[in-house]
Amino acid sequence: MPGKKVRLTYKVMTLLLAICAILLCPLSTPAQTRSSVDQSEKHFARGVELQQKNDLAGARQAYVEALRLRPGRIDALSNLGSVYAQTGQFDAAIRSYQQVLKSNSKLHVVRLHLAIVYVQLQQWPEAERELSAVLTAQPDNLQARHLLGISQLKQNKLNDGIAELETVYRAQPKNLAAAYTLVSSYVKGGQLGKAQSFVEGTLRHLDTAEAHLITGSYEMAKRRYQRALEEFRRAETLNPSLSGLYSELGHAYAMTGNRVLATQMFEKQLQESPGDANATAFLAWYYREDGRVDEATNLLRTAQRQQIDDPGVLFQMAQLSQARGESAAAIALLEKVVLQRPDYTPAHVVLSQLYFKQKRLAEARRERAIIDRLNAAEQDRQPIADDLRYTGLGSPIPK
Amino acid sequence: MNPDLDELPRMPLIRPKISVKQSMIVGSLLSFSMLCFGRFPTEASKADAERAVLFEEIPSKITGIAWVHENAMSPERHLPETTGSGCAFLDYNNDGWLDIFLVNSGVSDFFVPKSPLKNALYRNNRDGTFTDVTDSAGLSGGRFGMGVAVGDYDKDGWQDLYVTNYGENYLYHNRGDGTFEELAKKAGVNLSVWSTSAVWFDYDNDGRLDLFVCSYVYYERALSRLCHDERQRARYCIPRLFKPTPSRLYWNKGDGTFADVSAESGIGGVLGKAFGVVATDVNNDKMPDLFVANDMVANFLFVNQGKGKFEEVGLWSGVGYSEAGSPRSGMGADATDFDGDGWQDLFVANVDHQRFSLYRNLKDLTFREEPGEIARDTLLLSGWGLRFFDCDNDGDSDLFLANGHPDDMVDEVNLQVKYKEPLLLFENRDGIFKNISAHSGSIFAKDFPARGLATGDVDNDGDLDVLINVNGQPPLLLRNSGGNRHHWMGLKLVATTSNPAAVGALITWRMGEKKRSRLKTSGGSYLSWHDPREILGLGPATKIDELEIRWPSGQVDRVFDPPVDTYVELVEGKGTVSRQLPKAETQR
Repeated sequence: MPGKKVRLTYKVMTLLLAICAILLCPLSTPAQTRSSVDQSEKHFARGVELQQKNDLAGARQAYVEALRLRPGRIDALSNLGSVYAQTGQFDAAIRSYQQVLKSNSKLHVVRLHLAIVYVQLQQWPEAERELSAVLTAQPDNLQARHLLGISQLKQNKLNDGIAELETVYRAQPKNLAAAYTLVSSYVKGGQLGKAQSFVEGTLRHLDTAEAHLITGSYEMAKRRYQRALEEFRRAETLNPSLSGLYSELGHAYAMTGNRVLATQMFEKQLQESPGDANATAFLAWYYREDGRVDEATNLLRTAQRQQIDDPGVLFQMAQLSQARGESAAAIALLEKVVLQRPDYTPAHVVLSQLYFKQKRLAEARRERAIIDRLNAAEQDRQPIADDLRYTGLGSPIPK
Repeated sequence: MNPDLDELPRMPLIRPKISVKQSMIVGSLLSFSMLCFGRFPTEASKADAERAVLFEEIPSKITGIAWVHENAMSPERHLPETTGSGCAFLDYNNDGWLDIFLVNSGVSDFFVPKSPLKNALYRNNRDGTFTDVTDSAGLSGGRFGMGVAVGDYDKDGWQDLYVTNYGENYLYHNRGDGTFEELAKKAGVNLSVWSTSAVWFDYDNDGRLDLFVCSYVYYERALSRLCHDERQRARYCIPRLFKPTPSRLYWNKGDGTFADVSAESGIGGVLGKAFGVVATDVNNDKMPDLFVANDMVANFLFVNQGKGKFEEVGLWSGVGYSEAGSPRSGMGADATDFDGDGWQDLFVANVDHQRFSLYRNLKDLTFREEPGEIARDTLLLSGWGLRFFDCDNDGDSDLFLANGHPDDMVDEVNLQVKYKEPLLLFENRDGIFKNISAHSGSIFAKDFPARGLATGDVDNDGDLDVLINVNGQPPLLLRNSGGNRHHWMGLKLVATTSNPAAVGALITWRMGEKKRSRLKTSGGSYLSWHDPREILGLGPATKIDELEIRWPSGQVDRVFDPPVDTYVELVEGKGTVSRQLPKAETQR
């Protein structure tokens, strides 16, 4: 999905940091000699130059040297943080940025970069905290607001996230990235009326991969799977490397009954991004149903390593644990699922069965009462487009 | 102790002139072409083909069965048009030959046929042909028919019929003279909802047949207007949109009338969308339980608690929902002990993309869904009629499945699913089901909108034949050819104290060290009723050393070295068998 991946333009960031470095006014302590100060400056300048040339190892060495000669200088620390972030050493980057902010908490640019690292690590609560702090000081910072919206959406704070993204979109109506994220979040949040006006008013007139991807997602939400499939196929033609595309294509194939192509698409998606929750949940389900338990296990282990907290993935993990007879582990996972998705009946069903087997009868009965309530609500639900499809096709994605 | 036995004259149905060898060649060619098209993803082998039983369609021009099902398909697309109807093998005139009953649609609040429609009773002429005796028997019906259950509810020795409808149900009392009298209202079983399958069984073990009737959804003509596609064409609404209903339990008072005990028994306390039912004993407590297949809501397992009470345990037993915790669209259901461990296992056929479910009994009132070829090969199918039966007389339960998608326009939705679907046959090989459809006759290469299915030995040749009611089409009568290659014994249980259908009797037959057993269940399949006799397969053995019947009354009868390759009658408490002779032609 657009906006899911935050791509940092590090060259630009490095230049900004170099400018920041001037503004940060490094202070020398009385104990430091003039010579060591000069030498530190020299190494710092060299570091900036190397970083611009993308010689990150050289830049890191130069900044470290600059810091050895003048410990605590925040310009070097800040730039070192960005080098660490660029080389994937996120923990070190966080430590560097935090050290800078400890010295000067008003350095909002640095705080933004710290937040971006958290976004890259998908540490959404931390990202939200830092971005909120940036926006308190700089309410017009649209980049921070965009990222804040994404962070909130990732934490299922749909209304908050949508509010932030709407602000961004109002300020930048031509910002298609923000529009895409916003429509995606409308779709995710079930606000299909708002999504519809975007889709019909704007996206349907655009022949871009992103527009087709979002329109397809909208059609998926409306459960018009064949139309969605057509949109995703067009998006694939226009830009096959669009982030998240194969997950959506797989989902559309799955919901039109083409399990073979769905499997191929999901597998392709996981090659590109091993943490994709939809692809993981669907493939784990398919593999388990087809008796390919080892493959399902491997897939879910990968998801576990990535600390994916998606309820669909957790539900698959629970099913696997249950099949292995690890009831306690399955129960723990299911309890997490129903916490995130209290209305997801299948999780309550399996949970009730497991409680019953464990002789935890009061809990089994409690879950049964929840199931009865949810089933009654499902019976009373108003008809939707999907109700015209007389099929048993299902999905492992909790609604 | 056994009477002097003659060979029972068997009159094979006339069939197309094709030798077994030729059939196998045709079968092999078909299996090759079917594999090419991916119809049956099964491991073909010469051994499979050689051991296969063939099911051959007997054309209507030979049988004389001219009746055609009318499913009332309308531009408005009313849901009852999708469900089809059932069929039954029964011996209404006690001549020892199975007759055929077929259920049809009829007048309803949404359908008035251009010319009167009727159910059909075909008398077996014992020569492979049948005569339509519907009108003289008084069984024509006229309402929008669904299913049929056959049982001697008044213990007069003649088989009575309960016919379910979308609308008021019929109870046809058999007068014993070839005619029937409709007594539903008088008997108190004229339920007027949308009834589907029904089952006769004796839940309180008082020796009389009680009646369970599946109730589907609340439906009426006006509700069909809910569903249109984007082109404003009427489509069948999925059953989720219609309210669930309680099924009914009727207690047989013994005076020709019944009491509705749905509420006090617990049966009526849960709402479902019931399609199929089988009466069996899942916990071996000698009290019959009920497994009910529900459409789009959880299946029910009503466990008999005694004293007229049932507890619904579908959720915790593991048969209510799929392993993934979702309700499925259950249609046909059956029970058997497929793995020979002495515990009844369950089966339910579902709609496309849900796979059909074989549930192994874990002996603690829980079940585990089994993976395997059945699940693999039913991914895209929707199943209705089905039956566990020993098609090759090797002593275990094989499985026949009749399939077809409910929605005739499903092909347009791009689900890789078709309205007409193939029949499937799975052979039980030491508790593992193998898809042998490709080797079992050309009928398996054809597609049908199949619905009700019944099994019975219609030609008395010692193997079970199959009858299928096809939605909006002529029925299929499939002759089992080769099922009697193994020795067998046909058994008619005649109860004296137990219920007349001997439901709940445990039959055990021993051949040397090999022991087989079978619980006499009731119902099973979809809207349909089966031959009440049991054919016991001997496998490679040539004789039965010991036959034991444990009757529901507690009576145990044992017979040693009974005759084989013939039908025998065993009377409760007598401990002897006598050959069941067909009546002479003139006695019909």
